[in-house]
Amino acid sequence: MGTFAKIKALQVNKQKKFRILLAVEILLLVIGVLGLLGKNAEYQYYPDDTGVTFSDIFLSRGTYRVQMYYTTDTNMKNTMEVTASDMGQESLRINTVSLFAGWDHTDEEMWLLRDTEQLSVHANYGEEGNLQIHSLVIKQTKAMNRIYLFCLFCLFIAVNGIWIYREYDKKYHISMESKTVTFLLGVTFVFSSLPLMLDYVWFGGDLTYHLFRIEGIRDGILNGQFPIRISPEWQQGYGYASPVFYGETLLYIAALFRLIGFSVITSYRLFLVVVTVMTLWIAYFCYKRIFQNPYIGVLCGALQTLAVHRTHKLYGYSALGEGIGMIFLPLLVYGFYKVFTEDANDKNYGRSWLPLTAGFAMVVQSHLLTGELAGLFTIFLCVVLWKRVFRLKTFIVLAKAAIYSVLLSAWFLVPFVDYMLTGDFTIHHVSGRLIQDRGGFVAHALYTFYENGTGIWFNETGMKDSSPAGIGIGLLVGLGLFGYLLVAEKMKGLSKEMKALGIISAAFGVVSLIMSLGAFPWDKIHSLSQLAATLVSSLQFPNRLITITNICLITTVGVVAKYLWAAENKNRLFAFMAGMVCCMVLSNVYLLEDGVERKNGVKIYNAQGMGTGYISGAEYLPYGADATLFMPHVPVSDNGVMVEGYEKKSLGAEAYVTNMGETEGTVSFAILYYKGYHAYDVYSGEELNCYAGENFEVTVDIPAGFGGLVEIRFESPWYWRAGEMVTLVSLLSVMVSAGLKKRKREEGV
Amino acid sequence: MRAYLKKNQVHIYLLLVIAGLVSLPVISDGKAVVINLATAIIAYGCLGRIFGNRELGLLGSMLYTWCPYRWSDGNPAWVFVPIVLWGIVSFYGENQVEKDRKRSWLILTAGLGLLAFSSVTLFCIIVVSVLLFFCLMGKESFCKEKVLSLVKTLGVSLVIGGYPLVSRLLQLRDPAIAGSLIPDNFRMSGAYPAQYLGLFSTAEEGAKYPELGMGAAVLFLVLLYLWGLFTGKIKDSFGKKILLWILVLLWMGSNLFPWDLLQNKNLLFSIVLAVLQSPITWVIPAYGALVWVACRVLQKLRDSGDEKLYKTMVAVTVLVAFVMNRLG
Repeated sequence: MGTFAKIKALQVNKQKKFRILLAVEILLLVIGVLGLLGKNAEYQYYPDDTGVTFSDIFLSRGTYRVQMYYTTDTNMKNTMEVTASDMGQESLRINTVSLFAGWDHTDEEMWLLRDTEQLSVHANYGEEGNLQIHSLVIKQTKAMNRIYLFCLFCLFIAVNGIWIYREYDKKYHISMESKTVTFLLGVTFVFSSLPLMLDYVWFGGDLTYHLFRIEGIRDGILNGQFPIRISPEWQQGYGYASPVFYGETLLYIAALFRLIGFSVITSYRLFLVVVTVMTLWIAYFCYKRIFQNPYIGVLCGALQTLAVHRTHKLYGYSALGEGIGMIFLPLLVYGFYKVFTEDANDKNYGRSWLPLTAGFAMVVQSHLLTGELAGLFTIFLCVVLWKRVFRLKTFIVLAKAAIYSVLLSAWFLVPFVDYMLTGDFTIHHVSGRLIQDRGGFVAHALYTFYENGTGIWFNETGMKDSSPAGIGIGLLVGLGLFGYLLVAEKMKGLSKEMKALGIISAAFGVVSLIMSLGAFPWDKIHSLSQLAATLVSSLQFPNRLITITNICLITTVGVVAKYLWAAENKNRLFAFMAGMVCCMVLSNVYLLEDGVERKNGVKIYNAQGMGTGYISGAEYLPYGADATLFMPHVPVSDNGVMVEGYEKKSLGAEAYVTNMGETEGTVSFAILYYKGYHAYDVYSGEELNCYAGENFEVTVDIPAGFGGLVEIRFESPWYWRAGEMVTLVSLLSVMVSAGLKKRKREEGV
Repeated sequence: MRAYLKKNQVHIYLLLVIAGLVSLPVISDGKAVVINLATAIIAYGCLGRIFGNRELGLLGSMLYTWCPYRWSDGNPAWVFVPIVLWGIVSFYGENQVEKDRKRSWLILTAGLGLLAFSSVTLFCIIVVSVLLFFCLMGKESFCKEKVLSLVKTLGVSLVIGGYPLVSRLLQLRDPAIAGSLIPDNFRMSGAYPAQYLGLFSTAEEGAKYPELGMGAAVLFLVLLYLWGLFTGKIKDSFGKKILLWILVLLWMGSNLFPWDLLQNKNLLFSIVLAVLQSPITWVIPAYGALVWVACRVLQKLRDSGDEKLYKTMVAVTVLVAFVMNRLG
């Protein structure tokens, strides 16, 4: 009987106490839903004698939008600040916002966790230009009610889950092994989440960029865009096509938290909890299957989740893309292990492509560079195991995995390839970047007590205040032990496949570790060809290779554990496991604790708190565009073209345009042009010529004598939509086929 | 006396080692050395009585004396917390020495009285903690005998500690004095939960947060205890209540507890906050109880009859405590 069937057989719904619990839960949920109904309050204020401050505002706790109406002729010089003298930042969550000449009011989210009678909204004059404050509108929102409802829902799921777990344990007696594994996974999760137990996040170089990505999904969804291709509010509302180039599949979860109503930083932290749980669970699942042992699964899961490199990237550097990419790498190890070691004549062999497909599809949709690295080492693996690759059934499985990975990623890959082939973006021009001097020292690889240094230019600063660009002592010990067992020929108890897994993973681990060092001739490879230069440059930092080192050496450690388990020498096994825990504590937990104690944090509550335009290396800007000139403005026209009733929209605009002149004129909008923008005469439906004008602003040609409502909007090309359909159909077919096969298996049993 | 000293000389030497090791960085500070020695001796005596085993007392003394938060806190009142713990455990008959159960109120009173003269803040916190534990014990607490004992204990303790307590409260009637003792943001001066799980003493001078770890060895044993409870290997209803108590105290010591509801409200609340000074102090009784939990695990192991495993765990505990103490 399957687990679900067993739970069904418990018939907890017939227990009186459980029914009462359910009734209470439903009642509370109904009350929560009722809280979503009703009208939101709206308050209007006028400035006091100072002309810039609204003081002693009484507000009850809740969530609000703060809109201060103003006129200014400068950009980002003046700011609006909200304070309350009767509470601290933990109860009043709002950031300071910059004012722009092209906008007439602010629109900030505010979370007020307690009632206040002393709220003040203050405009700070930046000592330049004019600033006039007109009024203040504070609008209540339902975000707080949604948050409560969501928290209640989660709480009830947890309570019911614990109830069912206990009942299940009473009836079926969950094994000691299973309970221990659950406990150990829980402990690993708690320790790997130390940075998430703070009310801020560590500041990393890429933090704001990823927060903008999340905010972009939220903004896009709220404005009816799906899937998100251009983040509409990024760069002062000009928009940024990061989603086309940088897969965001998993980020939709983070955006969901924002849509519920959580603040930016809380949504990010909640998302990191999801990322950590997924990293741990997928690694545990894959390694448990590979080594047929849940304890080895836990060990490898802990090594992956607590990895020094993961801590550094995900928490320290806020490299969210890499952190997400790491989640799925164990699926690749498991997938390749299945494909290359299972009996090709087994009737289940045909299903071996599933983990590989899931792994590749998700890596590509999360972080292309991790996908590139995984692809590179896949090529190495296929070269090493070429005989197996060209075994017909294996080849079919591999081809199936490759094809399905592409099909499942088509919704992302089609627009990506389209822009890469037909567009000219900054990313096309980065091949000149040399990376060798950014590589680590051998000392990085052999270090034990990693600290959260900020240095990444090792050729300049050496090891002083170095970022933790290494793997931790645990993996080194594991590698050393494996080497000893191999040289001393002590692994006779292991199967041939397991031994090969150990050798290949150790070799790949060492190779990738060497490639992460400054000693590796990256500059030489860069100079080989244009393609090599592009690929090497796109890597940016050789230490990205440590992602591969990690996963390979974790596999090696798993092989050592498997050997010790098979040898049935309890003392050695216990010593090994205890040693690994000690090593993890010394390198990995130490790094986490060091960060908790020392790393500077940021508290960004709303979209305005992250500024308006950080785009990291500006890779996805049209080549030549100057982002510093992106400031909101009314449409700019020439040749006697008149613009009235301008309204800026998400990924578009609308304005009544007339051209009284005898020659064609143009109108430029404060929108960054990307392929997909179109302009229409709303009344006739006729399309107007729309293109990238000065500094790549969306510009529309207005024919002589034209008068009408012009609408600018972004439309995905038909083949992008086709790509989305391909993904949807592929996903459905995989799911239906897997479901049917599962049912068939169960019926067969 | 001489016979006692001779019989227990190994333990005495070890206590000196425990106090000595933790005193090394402050060896020139005579007062600190004496406090460390007193802490080690009193914790040894109290935990030894609780578990009816001097070996466990010695181990508990080591874990308590080497607690990273105790070093960084430097509050001499830590010395007397184990007496209160001994009193509480005896109060509910969970100790091993019969005669301690009968005079539990005396032990508790002695502990509270000594605390009152060393730290009014800790005295108040421990009194509230004791009341909290009394409530958490539910039915077992609310019988005539127990209620009378508690009233007697608190009454006598307040009489003993009356002078320092009343003089402090009178002093705090002045809003300026009270205000000067309250941090600007009282709630946020509490601990982040992550700080409780600190294994290393990474908080050096100038660090953003104070050292708040309970010690790696204690954490290791507490995790073992939790594992035992989760898998059903350990059945311990009193221990579960203690854990719940610890959890509540850790919550009150953290910045998750809504202390801000009391800030800037009225003089009474200001006096309460001024007496507490920082939420973190609630962690002290919790850490005392965690050391009890750590010893409880070892006691359960010893009682299970697996001598080898028990000795291994004792060795691992000492090793971990020693290494982490030195690393700190």
